[in-house]
Amino acid sequence: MLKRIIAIFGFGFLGSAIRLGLTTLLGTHHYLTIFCINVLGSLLLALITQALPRLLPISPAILSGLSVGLIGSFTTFSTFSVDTVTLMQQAGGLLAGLYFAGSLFCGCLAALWGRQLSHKWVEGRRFQ
Amino acid sequence: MMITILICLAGAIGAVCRFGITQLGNRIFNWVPLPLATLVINLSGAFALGVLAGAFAATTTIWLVGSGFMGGFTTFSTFSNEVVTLFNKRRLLAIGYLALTAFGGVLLAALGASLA
Repeated sequence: MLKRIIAIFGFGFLGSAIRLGLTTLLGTHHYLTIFCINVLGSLLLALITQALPRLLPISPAILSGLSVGLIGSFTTFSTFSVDTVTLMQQAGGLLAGLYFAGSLFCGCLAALWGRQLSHKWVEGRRFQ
Repeated sequence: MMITILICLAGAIGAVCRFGITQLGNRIFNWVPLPLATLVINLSGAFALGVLAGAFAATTTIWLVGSGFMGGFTTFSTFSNEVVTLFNKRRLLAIGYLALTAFGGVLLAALGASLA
């Protein structure tokens, strides 16, 4: 348990750093950056939880670090919620709705795609 | 540079808190058919960030607690993956979880901002 917590702490630091780096670097495109982070993270989390442990000998601590820590901290729900409210106030309902529905739709689609891709990879390896 | 490291440390602490609450939730509330821990984490985080955004626009506090802790604490990827997992088993429940998290998060963020 302690190993898992340390891994989540370390990878959580890294996930936050990558998100912070991207939002700082692409500061003028804040909403698009958060959208891409959340969609990419949804895909990566599916691959990490569904494919990685079946393809590589990976310890439970590192796996928790990568899923709960790295991707969990990389993506963010609180910023997504506040962003939707800010967009509604500053840019109107259309852009807010687009950001809100687009993030949800593409995020779930990315998670679904990641899951299907994982099954394909795992099955492919089984028959090699 | 120092503040950047502190923000990332806050994010790491947020991730560990999320892990703790999820572990606890899985043990105590395992009879609830919804991913209750993630729901509580995301809704409370959205409300807290709303309060912060309303009260301390673009100050160090919102960066440290908001982008750092709340960013690490709440998670979009676990939520979207849980929706997909749930959808394969119980479609209506998955849509309910999606709607509750998404609309609840935005409403609570707006409420938090209006309170501040």
